[in-house]
Amino acid sequence: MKQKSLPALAQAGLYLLLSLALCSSLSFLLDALSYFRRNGTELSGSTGYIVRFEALRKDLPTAGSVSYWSNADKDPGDLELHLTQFALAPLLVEKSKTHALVVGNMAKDPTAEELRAEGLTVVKDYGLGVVLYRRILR
Amino acid sequence: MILSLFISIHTGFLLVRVIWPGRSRWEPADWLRGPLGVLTGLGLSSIVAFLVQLADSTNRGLWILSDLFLWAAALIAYALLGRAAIAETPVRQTELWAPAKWVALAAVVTMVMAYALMALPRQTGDIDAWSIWNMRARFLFRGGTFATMADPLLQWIHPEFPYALSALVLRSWRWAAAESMAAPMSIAALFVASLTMAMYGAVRLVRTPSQGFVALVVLLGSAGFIGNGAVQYADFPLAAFLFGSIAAIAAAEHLASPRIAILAGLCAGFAAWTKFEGIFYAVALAGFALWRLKRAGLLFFAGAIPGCAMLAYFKMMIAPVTQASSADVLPLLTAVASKLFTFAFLGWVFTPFLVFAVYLYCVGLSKRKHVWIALAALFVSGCLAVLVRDDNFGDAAAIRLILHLWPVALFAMMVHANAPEELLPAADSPRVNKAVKLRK
Repeated sequence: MKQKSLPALAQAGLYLLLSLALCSSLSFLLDALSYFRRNGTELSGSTGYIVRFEALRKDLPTAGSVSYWSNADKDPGDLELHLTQFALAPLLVEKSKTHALVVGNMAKDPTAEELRAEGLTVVKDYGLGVVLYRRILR
Repeated sequence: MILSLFISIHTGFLLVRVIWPGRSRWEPADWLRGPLGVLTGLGLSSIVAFLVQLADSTNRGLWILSDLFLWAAALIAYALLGRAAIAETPVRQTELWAPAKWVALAAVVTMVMAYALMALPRQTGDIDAWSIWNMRARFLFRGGTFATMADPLLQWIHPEFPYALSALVLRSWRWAAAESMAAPMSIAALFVASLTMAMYGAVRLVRTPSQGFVALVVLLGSAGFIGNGAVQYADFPLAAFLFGSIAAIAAAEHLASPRIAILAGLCAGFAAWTKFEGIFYAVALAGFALWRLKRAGLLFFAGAIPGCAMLAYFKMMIAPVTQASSADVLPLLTAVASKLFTFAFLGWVFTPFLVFAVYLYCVGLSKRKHVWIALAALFVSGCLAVLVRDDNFGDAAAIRLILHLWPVALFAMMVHANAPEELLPAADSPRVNKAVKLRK
């Protein structure tokens, strides 16, 4: 059966709406494709933190608290600390010097002098910047 | 994990069929019944999961048995009340405006691919998802308690927020006895799929099939909105529950079937159990139900009981006390207005409001203005929620408000605009005339 035609003005309005909506969807697809090319092959953000900290998590107690240390230049909004907490929950990760076990989330290898200044000794290096330290009682 | 979601969804389907019976074979109303089933199933499962967590969180058998019990109850109710019912949906014959269907198909394929590409690299979601909803599920799954999460160090995970999403993720992990990120990803995808289908189904039901396709394309064209679902933010499930409630009220009115108001209430209650703004929106939805359905709107309150009761118990017995904040409404309204007039608003390639204005001018308007009133009431409620509770005032609050209400705004526009079927030349189309008569 032949499709009956809509009035020209109505057709124009509908085609304008549909075409711009579809263009927006296609533009989103291109953005998503470009994002996937950049990040799809490696686990980034919070998912990456789970992978990085998984081995350390298994060596830590399942309750209580640990201290947190990072030598990153900046951590706006404590994002790195929060991501570490996400990876190690339900253990509480505290930005303090009060606990014997210290979780290191290192941007670069600390020097022996830095470790001495913090009063820390390496228990185990898990790679990818994840290190477990013990606080030396002084 | 897949089985847990299947049980949840099937329970929802059965209950929706009990409340809103229909034929056993597929009929147009199922485009709305289906997504309402998903929303009902997920909402109820989250409440059951939360109760089981409170009762005996470590007993995996209890988690599975409680879900199976609910499923069995739904099966019995369906056997007694659902199958015997006569179809309530009037069948309407109209001629489809074919381009809408094909563009809708293209939009669905495009957005399914885009969604997958967005979601896969973000298995734990973006910041609000991992730091609040998935984080709290992790705490509970790994043996943490509500008391652990109330530690002042963890204020940023918002232990006082409702638990619908965290409980759903936790439930899937308990069923699987493993912490798979496929669970939050699947739950997020279910909300996106159900909202999208509900938009098509609701517009198709209360207007016409072609208008349903146009609404679907416009929703999917709001790519930034769909992307919000892919990153597992709770704003999307909240928007889905709000829209489910509005769609159910519209269906109840359109079909003169008061019982459907129960589904509207259920969705509104689940919205309250999803995010703190939800209870404010639920009040606006109750007012809308009473206005449109008169006394039958009272059934809305019966439906809202599970979600609201769960929220009340959580707030009184478990949630840490938080101080109400107050702020000036003007900066919020300014922030909302500045967001609305962003050129690439919600991922549109061109400012959508200008496009919508041209579209409405070209197709003309019907007399169905009432959904705009619901939108206005929801907006006022959302502003109130932000003003009394929000600790993240300003742009973030404005964009959240827009995200929550965007599907309702599109629904209002699609219900108000003339549908393609109504614009076809009347003399050539006796079947359309019949449809127009039916609508009148």
